[in-house]
Amino acid sequence: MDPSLCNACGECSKICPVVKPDEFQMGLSSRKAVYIPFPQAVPCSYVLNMDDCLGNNPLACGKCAEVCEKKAINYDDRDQIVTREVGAIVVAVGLDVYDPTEMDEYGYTRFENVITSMEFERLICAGGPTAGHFVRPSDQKRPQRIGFIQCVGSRNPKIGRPYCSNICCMNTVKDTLLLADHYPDVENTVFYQDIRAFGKMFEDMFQRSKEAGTRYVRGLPGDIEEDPVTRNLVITVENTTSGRIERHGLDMVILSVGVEPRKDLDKICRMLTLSRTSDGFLMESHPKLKPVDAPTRGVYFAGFCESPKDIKDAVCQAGAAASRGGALLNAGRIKIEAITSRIDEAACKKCGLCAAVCPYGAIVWKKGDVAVVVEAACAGCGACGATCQFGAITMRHFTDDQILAQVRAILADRPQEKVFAFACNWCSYAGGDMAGISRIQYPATGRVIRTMCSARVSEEMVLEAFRCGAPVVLLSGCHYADCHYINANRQTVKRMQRLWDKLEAAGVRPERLQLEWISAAEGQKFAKVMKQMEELRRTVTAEEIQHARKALRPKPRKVAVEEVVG
Amino acid sequence: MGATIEKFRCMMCGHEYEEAVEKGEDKERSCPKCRSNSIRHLKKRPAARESLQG
Repeated sequence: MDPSLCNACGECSKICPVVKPDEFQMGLSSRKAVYIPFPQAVPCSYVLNMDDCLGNNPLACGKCAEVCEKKAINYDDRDQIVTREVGAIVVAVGLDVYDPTEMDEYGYTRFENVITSMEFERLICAGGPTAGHFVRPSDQKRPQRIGFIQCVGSRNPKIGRPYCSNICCMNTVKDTLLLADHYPDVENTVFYQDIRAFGKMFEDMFQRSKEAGTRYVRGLPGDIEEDPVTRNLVITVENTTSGRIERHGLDMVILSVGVEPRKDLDKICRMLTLSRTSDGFLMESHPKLKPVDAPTRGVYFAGFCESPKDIKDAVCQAGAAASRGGALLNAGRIKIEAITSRIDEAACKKCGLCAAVCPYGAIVWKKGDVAVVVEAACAGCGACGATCQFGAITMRHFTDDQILAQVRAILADRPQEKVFAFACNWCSYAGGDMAGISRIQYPATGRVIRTMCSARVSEEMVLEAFRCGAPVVLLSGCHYADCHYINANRQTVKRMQRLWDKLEAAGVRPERLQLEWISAAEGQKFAKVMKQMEELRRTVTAEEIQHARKALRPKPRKVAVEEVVG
Repeated sequence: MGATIEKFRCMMCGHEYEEAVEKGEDKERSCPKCRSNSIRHLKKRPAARESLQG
């Protein structure tokens, strides 16, 4: 369909013989194969869904094209992949609504008069399938007693959705006011666990709903039954305010369904090297200081894809994302951190391991070619530098030589009395600071080296600490969900597994090497870990330290021998 | 689908435990006993075989 020719006369839709459920009306009414997706669609043009059309190869029907005076229908039109070069990307892919079919206790699949809040929206809407006349699906009669069940698919760890969907409480409050306004004699009952009315004027709206006669019962129903004759519903619920089991007779039940990240969000994540929180929403660069920035530079978030939020917050975030993108495009010059990696082409063995571990895709490598760092994309985590076995990668300001020099300096004097630790800049080191400014006591034997990310700490750095006589070594970084370099700390975990194996193989007690995830707010945890490390240090004997010094001594490199012989 | 029972050891307290791990799972681990994150991955075996053996 050519939208520039279509004048939305609707003749094509009238003659189309195909009838399908209308997705926009939640399947409560039907549409044709050629249709306007929703009444407010811009441009106001019909679309032809070729998946529903009777087919054009060979042409099976063709009636719509015959009646179209503007000749706007072209059966040979195909989807196209359009390539655009852009300077900034705003990810605003939206959300999916929770499908309550798995929560069978609410009878969504069994009882016709149990509907979702999205279906309610269509039924009460003037542009909906009933032109705004609210009727129940079983008999098309107006319901008198309506029940709303909150938190369906939200705050429920049993179904993998522990988070609050943010919008459902106020949506239900709005619905009760809408019903009270349209039908003053209707009886609304809301079954809830908490009403979260935290936005501007929300509490006022909640109070108005109560004043309009809506009854709020604290407790989520355990069961719903249906009268097979009247199709009325009976809800059994424990009212946690009164402590009594109550039964409520209702004509209709509306499930206030939660929201979830889009099912195809992984595709976007792979494309833009984004990471997700444990809830599945997109992870921002910093939850407080960069709430609309993705960890990948030049990518910004707006709306539900980042976290559940209402319209006002989504609009605010979209404005901020547009501003951030605009500032980047108009900057002229882009300022980047000085901490980036640099590859020595002569030393690079073209193995490509650095490109494989880079969470930003900032290293370009093709088989047989030396790797190249795109410095504008490099965030400076150092995972590549720690992975390269050939010394071909230098992390500016956190070079191997600089870090190894710190290791040797710290352990030069009485190493057996020290708890040696590597801490990442953003979380663990800040956790140590938090312990300090909170005056939390922990042993004074701790010595900490700061790196930008725990993934920067190479095997060689840890082994060098043991060679220098460290009784114990702690490697600490951000929690999984907090990693400031998308997911670089997963490389730390892999490296730790290899190090434990190596230590064990060398006859060194692997427990002498520890790993902890400590956030910037976990001063208490930092202190607790340092105390545990001190206790562990006291168990390490002088013989063990001496053995580790010898057993972990680097073997002479074959290349070096050949050089000497040559 | 694709889950394996894998064995872990806490390098802080020495507690050993088994846990079902989904393929491609990306999860922060901590010791169920002492909450330490020093979790060493020991070995794995297919979960399906385990369930068949009862």
